[in-house]
Amino acid sequence: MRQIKHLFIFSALVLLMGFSFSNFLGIYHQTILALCGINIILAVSLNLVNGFTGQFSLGHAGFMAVGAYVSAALTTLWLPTLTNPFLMTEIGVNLFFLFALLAGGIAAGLTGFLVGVPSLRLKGDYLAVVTLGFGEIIRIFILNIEPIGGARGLIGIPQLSNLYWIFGFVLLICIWIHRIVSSIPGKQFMAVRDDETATSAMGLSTTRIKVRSFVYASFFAGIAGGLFAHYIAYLNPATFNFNYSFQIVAMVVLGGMGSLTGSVAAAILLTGLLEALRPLQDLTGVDLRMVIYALTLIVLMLTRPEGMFGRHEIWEFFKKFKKSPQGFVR
Amino acid sequence: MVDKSKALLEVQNIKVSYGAVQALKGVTLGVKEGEIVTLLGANGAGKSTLLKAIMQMVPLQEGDVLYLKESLTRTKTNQIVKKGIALVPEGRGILASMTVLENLELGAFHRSDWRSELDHIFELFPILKERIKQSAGTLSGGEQQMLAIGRALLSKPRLLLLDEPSLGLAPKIIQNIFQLIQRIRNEGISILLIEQNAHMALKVADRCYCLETGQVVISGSADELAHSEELKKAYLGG
Repeated sequence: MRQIKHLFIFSALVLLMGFSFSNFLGIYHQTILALCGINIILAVSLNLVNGFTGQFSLGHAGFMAVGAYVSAALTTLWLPTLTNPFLMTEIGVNLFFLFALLAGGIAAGLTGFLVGVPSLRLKGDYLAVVTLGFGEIIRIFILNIEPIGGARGLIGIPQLSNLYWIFGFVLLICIWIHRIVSSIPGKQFMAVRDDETATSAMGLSTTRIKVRSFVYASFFAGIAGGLFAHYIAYLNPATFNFNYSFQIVAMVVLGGMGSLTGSVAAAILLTGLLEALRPLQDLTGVDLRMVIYALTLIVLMLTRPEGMFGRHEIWEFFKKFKKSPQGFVR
Repeated sequence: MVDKSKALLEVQNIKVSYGAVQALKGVTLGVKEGEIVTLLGANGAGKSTLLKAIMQMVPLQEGDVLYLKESLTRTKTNQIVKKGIALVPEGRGILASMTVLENLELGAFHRSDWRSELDHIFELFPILKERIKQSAGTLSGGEQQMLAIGRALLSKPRLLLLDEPSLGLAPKIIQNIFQLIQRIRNEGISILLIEQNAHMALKVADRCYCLETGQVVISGSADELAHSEELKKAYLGG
């Protein structure tokens, strides 16, 4: 019964968000919202690795690229060759899109596994450099595959993604990750972050835990990539360069490493901020956007080095005032 | 029930180095069932490295570690814990961001009967029950040490490795900890205890080894060594 109630609330929310966003806003604002949603998925999933598990990955855009290209290749290259009449219908196409998204996610997860197994033996800066390298390898690899466009990019991707899909997945993935990290097996991620020696002394395999967290994060990044590809309808390998990876890391750090709602807020803030500053260029005649963007990051990091929400979720701040301080210090 | 003559752990001539520095230069020692064995030594003598070598957290260059006559050198740390050796790491290894209960849950969730075991832990450490929802980082040093030991006991070990449980604690708390160590032994768990506090350690231990720059220099029964001039010299690094 509870599940049905939750499912109902969930669908109602998705429909409401999708409906209001796509009917009361212009294309420009819709696109910004779509990018916000995609960045939320990326930031929240990277938080699983960088925030909760305490590893430092810098190659998230690479996994997004895998998901984007795999799902786009399925819908652009494979779907038109299929003759099943069911796939001509609205429902059939959307079901195929869901399949393509999951396939992209699984491909990204597999890539994450292959990258994670050797590199997660490293720690800190070394891991950051290795994942940065792998992210670039993935991009260069895609750049050289001619059937999916190579350097020219992949064109003609059907525009199957919309705000319903994106915000459906945003909600689903946020709830999913929240449930992972609040379960006992999910606490293992935080145990690795707090003290790796103690975690292995407790009989837990730290390598396995780290790889698992990495694979989950890559899977979700792959789904974000699929949603992105089918919203923009054009893919170019240059989109997924290390600059994008850094932006996602910036969102995670700014929101607070280990705070899901923090990542959501930071993803909206950073994606929205760049757009909100656009009129400034018309006023001043120079592009001050990046200056202000950088200044915002610097000021926030100076005043709140632990990120906007630290390690807490937004509702914990309200609880703090209501309940007795027992169990909530810091 | 406890067969005192049976060898539980045998460390045979192990060598470990960190880069160019050789931390253990061939150490041999043993723990029998039901014993408290203490390992004394100054800073940098290789005590903690020895425990890490037993748990296979550092690679061995040479030598072997036998647990119940079975070599551990090819076993992963987490498997060793499941076989029945638990380590309480130096500096307690508390997961500071989590609550006391979460710390304990993580120590035991791969066992099916951990809930009944948990009651036993709370009986040993009543203070932990009072603080069950408090985040572990806010416990006092002694409470953190108790939590670390309690967490290790949840894996139902036959051998408990303790790395300086008295580190940074007040003398009164140290006495408590040592009483608990004896109580744990009386329940049939063997203990390998690393200590700087030689006086206290020799009081509770059955046997003692003294390490100096990666080698065992003195070994013998704790009663004998408590009065030995030789130990005083070695321990002070003289």
